[in-house]
Amino acid sequence: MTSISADKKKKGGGTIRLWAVLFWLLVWQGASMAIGQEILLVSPLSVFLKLFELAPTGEFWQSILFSSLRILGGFLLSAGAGAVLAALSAKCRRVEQLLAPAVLAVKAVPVASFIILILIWISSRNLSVCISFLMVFPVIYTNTLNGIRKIDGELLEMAGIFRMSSWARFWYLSLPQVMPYFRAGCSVGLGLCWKAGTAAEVIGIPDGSIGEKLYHAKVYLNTSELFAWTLVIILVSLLFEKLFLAVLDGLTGRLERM
Amino acid sequence: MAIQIKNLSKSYGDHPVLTGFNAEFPEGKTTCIMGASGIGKTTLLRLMMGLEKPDGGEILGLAGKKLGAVFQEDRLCETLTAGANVRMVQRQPERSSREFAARMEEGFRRLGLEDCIRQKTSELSGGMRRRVALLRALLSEYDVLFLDEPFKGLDEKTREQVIAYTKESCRGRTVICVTHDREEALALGGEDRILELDYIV
Repeated sequence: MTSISADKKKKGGGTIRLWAVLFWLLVWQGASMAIGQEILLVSPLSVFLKLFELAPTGEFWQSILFSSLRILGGFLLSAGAGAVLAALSAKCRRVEQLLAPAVLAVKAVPVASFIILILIWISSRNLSVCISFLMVFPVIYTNTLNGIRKIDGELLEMAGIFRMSSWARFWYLSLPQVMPYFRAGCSVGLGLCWKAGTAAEVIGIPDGSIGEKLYHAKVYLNTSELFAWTLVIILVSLLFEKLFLAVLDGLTGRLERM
Repeated sequence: MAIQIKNLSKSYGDHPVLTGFNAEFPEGKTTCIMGASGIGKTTLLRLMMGLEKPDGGEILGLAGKKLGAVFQEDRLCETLTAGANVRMVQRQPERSSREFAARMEEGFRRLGLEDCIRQKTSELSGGMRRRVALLRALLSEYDVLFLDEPFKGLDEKTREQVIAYTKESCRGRTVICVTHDREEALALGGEDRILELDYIV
């Protein structure tokens, strides 16, 4: 797996424009009206109405909290483990060799197989923590390891001459150079953890989770609820991504202004 | 104790760079090494710094010594500020002491970099970056300082200012400087402290 580019987005290219969103909403509304059967393709209007119907209920927010805590918990554990093990792998070839088959297996095995397997071992309540962890780990690990490998050899040589301490090397040389790679990994991982985590919940059906709501929406062919919960997942995922990356950028900014 | 180089040899493939090189660098003095491009000046510095292994011969008097260096390249961390680049080679608690902060500020001022302490090095000009790299080395805790063309890319006026500060802060310390410029060598070490590399190889 090659690492995700740490380069900043080119201006304009990847930006979401309001007019483009409105265009696709209109296409969706048009298609829904053309089909004329809400059960096959619900209209965006119905989805928003369903969302407004769900939002005032306590159960709605409890489900969001239940899934967020587990999925994001898995993500945070993965980010920590990925960064630490990448550092160990960069330091010791044997650790990298030891981890290589495991990382490859996690990348290659379908998420559904993992979900079923893990369901045998643990309760469905904590299934999304494990799945989120497993899906994010290879991305963060590979990206961070590549970032560490790209640390300028001339800077390390300079550090050796000046006998910089391990802490100073980490703080002044490694961290600023690896951070963009770690950030790129986190950005991708945050999207992945929600996709995989809710998929796990739909299969495991833990009580009070977003996945359970999606499952019931499917069983009762409640397409508007299915879309409403999907929209919730997208919004929560985006919100946490923005928050987490803003914290990381804040830390990086402080580091750069030292 | 002086640094002694005895019968030093180094080749890259079939190309010999140093053959049976002998020299002595006295303690507490600045010695400038001059010579044509490609004659092996930088190689000699790298050998003395222990960054490369010689094919033969020995270097005495450097064991256990703390080294400082300005490399041919600036070797600054681009994403960090100029101040952080200078501070990074200091040991704690010196790095965060008020006394060091004052010395660093004075150094920046003396090198004409007053407004650059909090600026990222990637935003600085080539000449400014060179001065930051030099200041980092000068303020480091060294027993022997190696300077590889430390004043390259500086205009004449700035260079005079920088040489004066370098000379002042290196007084009484062991410095080995590679330069192409005789004026720089004379200003730093004086006529009797110039080694013409092509004469001794």
